[in-house]
Amino acid sequence: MRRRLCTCVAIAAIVGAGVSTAATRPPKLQYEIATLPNGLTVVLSEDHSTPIVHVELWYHVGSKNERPGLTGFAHLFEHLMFNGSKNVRSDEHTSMIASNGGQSNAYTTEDTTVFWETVPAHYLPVVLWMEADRMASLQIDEKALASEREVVKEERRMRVDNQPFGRLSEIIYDQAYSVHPYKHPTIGSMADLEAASVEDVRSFYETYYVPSNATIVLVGDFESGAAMDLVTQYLGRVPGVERPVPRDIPQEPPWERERRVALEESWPLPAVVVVHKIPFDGHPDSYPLHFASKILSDGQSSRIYRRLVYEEQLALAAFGQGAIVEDPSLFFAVALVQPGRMPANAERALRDELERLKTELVSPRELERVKNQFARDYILGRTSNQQKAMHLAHAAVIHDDITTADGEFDIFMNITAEDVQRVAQTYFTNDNRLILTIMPRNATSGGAP
Amino acid sequence: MRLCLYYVVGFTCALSAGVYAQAGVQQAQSITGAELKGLAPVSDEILKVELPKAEEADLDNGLHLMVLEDRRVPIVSVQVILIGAGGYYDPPDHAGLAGFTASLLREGTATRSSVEIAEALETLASRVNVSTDMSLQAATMRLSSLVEYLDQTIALAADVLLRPSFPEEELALFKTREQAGLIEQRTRPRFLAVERLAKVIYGDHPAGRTSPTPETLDRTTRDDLIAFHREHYVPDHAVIAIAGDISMADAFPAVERHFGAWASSGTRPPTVDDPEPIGPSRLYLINREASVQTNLVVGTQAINRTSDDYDILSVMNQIVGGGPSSRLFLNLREDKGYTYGAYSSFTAQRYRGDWDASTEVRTEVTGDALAELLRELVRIHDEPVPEQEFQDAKRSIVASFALSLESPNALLNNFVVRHLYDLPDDYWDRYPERIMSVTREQVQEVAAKYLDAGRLHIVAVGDGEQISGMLTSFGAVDVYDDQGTLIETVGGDQ
Repeated sequence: MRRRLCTCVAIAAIVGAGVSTAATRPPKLQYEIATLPNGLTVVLSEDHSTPIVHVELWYHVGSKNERPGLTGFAHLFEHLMFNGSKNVRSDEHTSMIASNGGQSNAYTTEDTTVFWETVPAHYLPVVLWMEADRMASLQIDEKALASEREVVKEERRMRVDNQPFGRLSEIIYDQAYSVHPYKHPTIGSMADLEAASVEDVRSFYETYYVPSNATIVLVGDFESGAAMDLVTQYLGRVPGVERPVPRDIPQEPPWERERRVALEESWPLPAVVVVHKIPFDGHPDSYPLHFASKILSDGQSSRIYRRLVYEEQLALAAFGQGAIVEDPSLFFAVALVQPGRMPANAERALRDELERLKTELVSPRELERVKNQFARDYILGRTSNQQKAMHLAHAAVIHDDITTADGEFDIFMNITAEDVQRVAQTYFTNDNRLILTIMPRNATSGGAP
Repeated sequence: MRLCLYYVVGFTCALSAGVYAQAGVQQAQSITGAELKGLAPVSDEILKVELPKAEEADLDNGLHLMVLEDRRVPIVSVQVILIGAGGYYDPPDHAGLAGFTASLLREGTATRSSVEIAEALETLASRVNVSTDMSLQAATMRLSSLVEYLDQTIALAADVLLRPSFPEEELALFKTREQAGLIEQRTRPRFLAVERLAKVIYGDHPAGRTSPTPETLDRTTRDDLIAFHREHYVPDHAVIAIAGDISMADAFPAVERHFGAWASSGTRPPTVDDPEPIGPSRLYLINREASVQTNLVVGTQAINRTSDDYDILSVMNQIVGGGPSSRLFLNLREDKGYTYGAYSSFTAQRYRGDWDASTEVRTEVTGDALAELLRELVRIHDEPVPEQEFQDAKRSIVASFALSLESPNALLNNFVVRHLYDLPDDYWDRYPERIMSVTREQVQEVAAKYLDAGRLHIVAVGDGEQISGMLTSFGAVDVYDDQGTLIETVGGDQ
């Protein structure tokens, strides 16, 4: 779940006193895009500054495509993609790349599953060959499934179950949603992981791991014509399928009244969370909402940090953040409450800060700060080949419009204080709100005085 | 093996994550030389890279300046490495003072308040922070800025570094913020493991400390901070390393303008000592009730950064636990399914550092996983490494080095290391050649020398009730609670 707004920003006119106008504009991404006869989308972007190439293959399937009872399946399947195909032995994918000094990995979000490799440029053919092999001919067997299931269960224990606050994210999503599959975590539940069968694996592969549901992005030291020939030579041979990829995902109904939920967890400190439902990535309101999260949380002078952590010392950590992803998602403000402080006070402070965005226009200086921070993030976030590939793939897959990889820059440049106020008034309403209070189980000292 | 104490960052990441990236997921059943079944279009060409060079210059006050020009993006990043201001030089009775000083530099100067500093930097979209660690000789200021705001950012950074005021009220606020974190970190299994391991490997050496205590934080005064800053923040041995959209011709005058008046102290370079040689192996159990996994760490003392064994140990470590094609990963994860990951690493500084291997396994297999882990450490010195595996490991190191050159900061860090440890000028040019010339015999010798079973210390953090019986089959176990207090010794001859 890369809960980031995969976009860009720049600087608008600077209004504040004593600061010169940031004139820096990041270089535009140069790319070519094409679709092969089998339906595979191909994006190529040359960068000759280092003799390496980054390959990123996105399948447009994530945990939101999972059915009830099979949570965690997309991610479990991602692991199985390393267990061998017709011409590549189990686990050889990784060893081949590692022994040639490359790096490779994969990750699964609620919307996508991504496989990537960074290699010395002259290894591009073998990378494409191996990706084609597992797209066309994955080996699926009970032994590999059993083994990877254990690995994923340990991954869940390590990341979630054995960490203080490890379940916070899944609690928020579980409480917030009723029917949309964002309700369940990408890692899934232990019971569902246990239940996954070889038939489930095969069906998932045949449904989602098809060329028309995939986008491959190459960034690095190659010549585009030659690279396109290689992609066509290897991945162009993977047979296409006629049937469309299912997109029948149940949508969440609007929230009609405020809900309050109190829970207990084995955590050292209480947590309070204020949640609002917000629209999808690419919706016009998603851009000012992203600014709202920066106003609240980016840096020591951001509003939530300064008030809850620095001035009033209500919280050990606090922030507000929009999870802007493919389907409508959540904006949540979180505080981990300082020992001896009242969770109710932290909650009130979080609500006050969201309310302030509705009642007061953001000052010109604050807006300028946010735009400068965006420019920095935009530039820093497009430094490596991998980062550039991610932005291109995100635009092509999630927005279905590669031009947004650069085009959102101007949308952000033109955001006004009124835009931020308008989206705050639209979404930060009482009825569109969930308030969670999570107290330490058997608390003796962590809670209210 | 150092742990990030900034739990807030970890927390934020955890929440926004859910990216179940396979952190080193990948696998390889065997890298022992079998042919591909198909005809993979592999190139045998060895990647050759010419290293760009950093330019270097010295200021009159002793500051050493290094600049790596890279025009790809309009950003400049700067590190000011303050040798002598690190946690290594905490007063013996005041562990953590260097870290407190570094953290509070940004909280006020002679002319700016904490809030003014934060607002000024964030309006420029620049980042400035200063940090250290209790095992480090240096405190390091890191800043980054859009190139057009670089001069203003360096001016702010210099103000913070040279003229901090350490306001009383900021110190009080800092203490409140930090206290809860010092308590909260004790609920994290990784922290508990690292804390115990550091103590057993380094003993009373400064690197044996991992975190300040609430008590040392509480009794820190403004005068302590002022005195530490005055004594330790000196230019004589400091390095300023700059990478990005700037040349030496532009960087030198900017640095001179803002740091040129920083008065030299005339002090000699601060010294370090090696830790006492490590004692015989022992097991330590930190009882963390209701843990659903056991964090296992096996560690020992290894080498200094300037050791002749550095390259050989790098190769050995790559084979044992350097990545997803290494033995620990293949055995504990791919073959046994005990864990999500198993890795090894080492630290090497001016003093003798540590080597350690770690993994997190489900409670029930704690004993089996430890046995397998230890078996791999015996195998690396008992058996010659198969030729293909050996060549793959070396090629992997060399090519990874080439890949890292994509990042100007990574490249510059190499030059900083060369400078800090007085390594030869052509150290990095010859690095691939040196790695490729390591022999299998050398790897076995180094493994025998450093992974001596009699000197390996084993730390387990988990549910004591369930795992102490599994651990006692390996020897006597010292059992601690999660506050670091020794409760009892069980099993073995004690």
